[in-house]
Amino acid sequence: MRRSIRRFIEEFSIEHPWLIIAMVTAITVFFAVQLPGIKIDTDPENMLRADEAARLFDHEVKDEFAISDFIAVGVVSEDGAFNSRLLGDVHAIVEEISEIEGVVADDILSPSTVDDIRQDSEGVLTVSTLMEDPPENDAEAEFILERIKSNPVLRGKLASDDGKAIALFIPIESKNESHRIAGEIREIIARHSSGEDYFIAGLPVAEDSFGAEMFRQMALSAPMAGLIIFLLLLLFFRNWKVVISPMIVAVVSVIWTIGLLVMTGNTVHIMSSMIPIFLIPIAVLNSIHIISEFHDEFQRYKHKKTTIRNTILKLFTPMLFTSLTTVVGFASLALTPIPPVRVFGIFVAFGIAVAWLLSITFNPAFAVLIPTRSLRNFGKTDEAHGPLSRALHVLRDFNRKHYRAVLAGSAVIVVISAIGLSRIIVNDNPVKWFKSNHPLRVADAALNEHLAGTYMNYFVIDGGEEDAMKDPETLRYIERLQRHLEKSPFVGAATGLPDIVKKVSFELFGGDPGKFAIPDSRREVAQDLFLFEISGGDPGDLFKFVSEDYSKVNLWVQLNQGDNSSVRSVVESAKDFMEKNPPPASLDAAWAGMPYINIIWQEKMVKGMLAALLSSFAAVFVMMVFLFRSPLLGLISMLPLSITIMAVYGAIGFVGKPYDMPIAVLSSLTLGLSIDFAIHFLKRAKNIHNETGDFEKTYSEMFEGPGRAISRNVLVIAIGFVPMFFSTLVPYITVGSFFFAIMMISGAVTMLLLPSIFIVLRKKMFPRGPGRPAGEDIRTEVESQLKEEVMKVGMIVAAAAVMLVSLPGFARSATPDAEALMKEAHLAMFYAGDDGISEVEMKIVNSKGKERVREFTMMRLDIEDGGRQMYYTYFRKPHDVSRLTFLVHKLPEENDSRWLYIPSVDLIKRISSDDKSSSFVGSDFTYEDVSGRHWTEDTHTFLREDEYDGRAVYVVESKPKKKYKGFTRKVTFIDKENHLVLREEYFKKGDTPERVFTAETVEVIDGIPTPTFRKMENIKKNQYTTVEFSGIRYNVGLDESIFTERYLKNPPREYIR
Amino acid sequence: MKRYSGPAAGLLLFAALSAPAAADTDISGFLQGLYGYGIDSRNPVPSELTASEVRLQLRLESFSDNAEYFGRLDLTYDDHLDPVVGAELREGYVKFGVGRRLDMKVGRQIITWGTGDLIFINDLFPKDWVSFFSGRDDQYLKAPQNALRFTLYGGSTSLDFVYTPRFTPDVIPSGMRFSYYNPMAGDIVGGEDYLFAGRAPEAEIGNGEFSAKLARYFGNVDAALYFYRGFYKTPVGMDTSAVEAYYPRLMVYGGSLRSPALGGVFWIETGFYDSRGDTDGNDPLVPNRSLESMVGFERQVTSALTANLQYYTGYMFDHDAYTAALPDGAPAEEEMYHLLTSRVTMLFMMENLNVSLFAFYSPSEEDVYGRMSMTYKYTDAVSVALGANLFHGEDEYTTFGGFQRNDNLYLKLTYGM
Repeated sequence: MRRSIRRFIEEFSIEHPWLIIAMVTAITVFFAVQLPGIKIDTDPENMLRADEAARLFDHEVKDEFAISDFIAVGVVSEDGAFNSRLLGDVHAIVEEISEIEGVVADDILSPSTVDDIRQDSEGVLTVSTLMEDPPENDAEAEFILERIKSNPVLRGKLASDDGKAIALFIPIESKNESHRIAGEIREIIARHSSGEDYFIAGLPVAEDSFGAEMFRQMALSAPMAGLIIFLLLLLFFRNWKVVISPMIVAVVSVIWTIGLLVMTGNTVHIMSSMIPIFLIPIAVLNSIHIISEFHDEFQRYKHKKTTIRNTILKLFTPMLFTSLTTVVGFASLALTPIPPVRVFGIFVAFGIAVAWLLSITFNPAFAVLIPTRSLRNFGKTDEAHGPLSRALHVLRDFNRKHYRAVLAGSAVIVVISAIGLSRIIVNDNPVKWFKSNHPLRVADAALNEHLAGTYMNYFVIDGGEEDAMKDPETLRYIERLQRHLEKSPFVGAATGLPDIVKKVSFELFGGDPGKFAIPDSRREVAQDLFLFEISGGDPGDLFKFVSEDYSKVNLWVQLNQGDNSSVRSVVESAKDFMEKNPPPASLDAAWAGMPYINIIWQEKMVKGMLAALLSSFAAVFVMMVFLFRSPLLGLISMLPLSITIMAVYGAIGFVGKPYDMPIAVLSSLTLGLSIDFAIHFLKRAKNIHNETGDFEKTYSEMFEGPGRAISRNVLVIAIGFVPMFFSTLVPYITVGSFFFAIMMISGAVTMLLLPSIFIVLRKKMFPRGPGRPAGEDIRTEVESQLKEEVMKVGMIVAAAAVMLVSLPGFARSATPDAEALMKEAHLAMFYAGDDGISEVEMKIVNSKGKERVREFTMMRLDIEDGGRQMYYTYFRKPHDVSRLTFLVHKLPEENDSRWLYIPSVDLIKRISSDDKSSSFVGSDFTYEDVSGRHWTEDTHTFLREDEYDGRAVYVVESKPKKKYKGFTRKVTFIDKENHLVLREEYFKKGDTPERVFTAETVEVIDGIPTPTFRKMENIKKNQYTTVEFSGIRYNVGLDESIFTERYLKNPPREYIR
Repeated sequence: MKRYSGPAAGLLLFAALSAPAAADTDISGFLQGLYGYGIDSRNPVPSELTASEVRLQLRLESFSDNAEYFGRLDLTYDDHLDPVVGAELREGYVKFGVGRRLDMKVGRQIITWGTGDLIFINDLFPKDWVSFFSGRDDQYLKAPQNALRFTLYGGSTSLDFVYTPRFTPDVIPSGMRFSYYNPMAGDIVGGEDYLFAGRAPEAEIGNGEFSAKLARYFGNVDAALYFYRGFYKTPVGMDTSAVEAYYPRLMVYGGSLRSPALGGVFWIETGFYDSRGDTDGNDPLVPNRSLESMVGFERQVTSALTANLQYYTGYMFDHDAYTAALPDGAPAEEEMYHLLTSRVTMLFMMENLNVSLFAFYSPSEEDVYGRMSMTYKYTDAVSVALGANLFHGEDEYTTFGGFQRNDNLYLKLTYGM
């Protein structure tokens, strides 16, 4: 074990460079082949865990009130929008929009699709479409505006009171389609518009478009930064053969990281798309130190291998620690409660570790392979008199003279920064991730100026019992709440059931303005609502505002501002109102909607980031004390980073830039990057002082080699990120500016403040001692050996820490209504109870009647209904598979994880799971038949209602969304009463099914209807398999730990006898 | 084949048999006849039969709430051996949990780990190559050992320690049933005169074997780190003073990844073989340090056909020192050793007919080993298998070239209960 890492590297990298290069290439290829599997996710909702309460409630509300996310489309005409020509355009546009795939055509809010209620000339109350046909003249057009203004449900929503703007709200099935749908809407508008300005806005579009834009930016800015870094390196070192290797290190670490990310089944989210841009500069950092040293020393030794050996010897410890601290900085993000941020932190940490490994193995290997001939002039430029050195000398002399001023200046900066810090505002708004001149921002501004607002929130008030919302007192209370909310400058309109009741009452009494109120009795309210339901309107519209049993109302609170701070103030204001004005009956209230979801994750993030920052700060401090074996030096090394963080965030406070997602995440980067220079500086100072034993010499020397390396790094990284300033996306500009600021400030603090502290604390830090002539390296040798041992331990601890932080995957949930039946059936068949155990006897009978038997015990645990699920199978028969166990972790919409335990050799093997249509233990059932095919994988069509085997059934046809080997079409017979699948036919070609499943016997066990005898007939092969379940138990309280490796080897004997 | 029935194992079997009355006990086993015929008449071994045995395996399994007793006893009848009847305790162990996270397994047991298919880099547990060549079931390739195993579990992480107090080497052809290349004789040899055995390390405390594995699942990726401290499993060292082969000291540090990719499973494994007896590489009688690596990919091509491909490479460190120290004229090993393997498994007739082909081919040593078998399951209990092992090599001193006289065909009948 005594073999030091350094010797290992020497042997590998310096003596066998090709081996290193071959290994790096092989691993890179391994990760590169993973890349095509990349999955992209731009939904900010995934910032919250799938089971987060606010998110679940949001889905519940959207389900219950059948609400979709909206794209807002607006047209503004300064001359008035309500004329026959423009309304004609709008009518045609809406007509075409309703044809777009993914648009919920029935729920479009527009003049030509919404219902209006009024009494017609004969005194009959009718509910009819506001603008069935385009108006023939301008007078009719004006009348439509009047009707909108007189309907509190539509007012401000569809048109501005001055008639200059019209808005259309386009509901969409999935917000991940917004960018595409917005594009199609744009095309439709271009065909019909007669010159007015149309705008498309709304959070879904902003968020989804951001995703699309993000990947374009990524593809542009990461290579751009790489190129500039490369050119700068070339300028400094003037040898492209040397300079190419840091670039390879950067690219390779990005490939490994993204490859691993894809491989582990994580999606690329807004955060993780920034991984390359974070990794490239950090990856280059170490390499620059190596090259810088190599460059400055090469002419001294004139021998490649010797120079490289010495370089590694000098830089090994500082590089290890700079990398470790950065790893800790990013790994600390694993402490945040936000899954994408955790993934980001963990993978960047991994990438940095990779970059470190490569820079100490690949860089030397690569350098060895550079022909000595082409290095003849390398580093020959007189560094000591170059412009960089001259500047550093000026700095040195300045500092020597004015070190007191530097110290005082630093103190002043700290104080000013503290003031700035106190002024930081926490806020975010996905629309503002675009620059203010971006079309989406322009549209956002235009629509929200004229209309009630494009940010839709829902405030659900629950009366707890049926018909609670027919109570006039309650309705009046809710109306007061609405009006209170509308007082907020951010709320354009708060629309709800009281408005509908008032409008019906008003129209019922022939437009008597005195009747524009909530009726006095419960009966009258009920009558008004009943009238509205039967008057020919779409009752679905009513039930967007109230639940069908009238126990809950849903207030549509339209905000004209998407800032989290605005949303928060509205939420606070509602809470405040309800506290100060106790409701007449007990009411529960909760918020839903995209803007509300955004404030929930923002809150989590701010807290999480602070925890991450503090914990990594503490961890880095401990590491520094450990590295320098002195609390004093540890403290001093923390100064540059503390001042940098304070200055950067203080500046943010002063500038008034809100603390948003990108800024929060950057705190960890600041920490990791700004400690680096201090480590190099202090470490080198100690070493030089050990050699010379003379403070003045040490002081001067620090402004030579070490100073040059640090300055080069500062310049390369800072300038490398300048192109990001010109991005169209604000978060990218933020990231670019941060890199720039971090580099500049921490570089400056290191080069100014640390030497000043040296002078002040000279006696303590650099005790006078006999210097050792250079070359007599024995002590440093022993010391570094010792350090390496210590570091090995440190590395193992760090590696273990990174490993143990689990990588979260995201369980997606999307259940469109059309699939409800199949979903029910799936849940009834495969998710009965919370868990279950059963003995299974499977008989495979071939065409000649020969029978084979398989016996096993099967256990199942549902983590989430319709979602994650685990199966454990223990085989008893036949004898050659006896005691074999089989474990499946099922993840909907992803491949299952499957493990097989082979008892005869005591080995657990992960098996491939791509082919779900392959036979389950040689039977006619496929793996998927056993654990169920998730209903979201097929598109379903309702065929008919029917009778099967004496039971009433629904018949549904399903076709795979993606090409699938198992079937091209299947027909399912679902029991109407208990939703069990009684029969299922699988077709491949033609009209004869290849296989037919039937539930032969259904028994009720523990109150749960269960098919206990099932049969799968393979018509094509003329054979069948039957399965008999016995000893079924539900809800036995199986522990999740049973479904792990340990129990694969040791069957849980309390269940398996 | 080495017969074993140590006192410790006997005790364990007794413990297993006398397991608590409350525990469930299960007895099963199989009866098997195996006959193999050597098809190369030049093979210098005494018998033309590479296998001629009837085997009865009895399996006893008993478990109580927190412990499991397991025994597997093989009784064989082979009239070409002396004694004609043999007994071997294949396994006999007690396994029990200590707390929620720790499992202990004590006794005679079979252990294996790693990612490869018939290639073992970090799995330095004993292998029985004679069984393998003669056509016995795949489980017989893994030879038993008396060991103590600890396994610690924490979520998706597990940590294994195996301590084998007495070094257990691989079983390799010794000249009785299978001939081998003898470097002293410079030829392929067999028979009583050339019975080959390596000198095992003394039974001392320091001469035990220690293996460890740290494994964790990262999403779909299984990652593991390995460590081994012990000896080379075959007698690759030469003691010139005693003119005797022995097992040189060895430490191995390795790692592996296994993950689904491109519709199949991909694996990569590597191990640094730190040959403690020759760290400088200038002793030609002890292997140099080396880096052993492999990559593999397996995929189910159709529901009835699974195929895999592996590439294995060994890199010898200090090759210059090795060649410099080698006596003139002695065949030198290459700096890089390459091996390609492929397995194709086909299932027919409702998975009742299994056809398997496995080929090893080394382009650097120019030798080949092909294994093929056809197994038909007549019922769940009765199966019949026909198979062949074929070797070929340009040179006799290479890995498979040394076995090239051992080509054989075998027939195997199994009745399970």
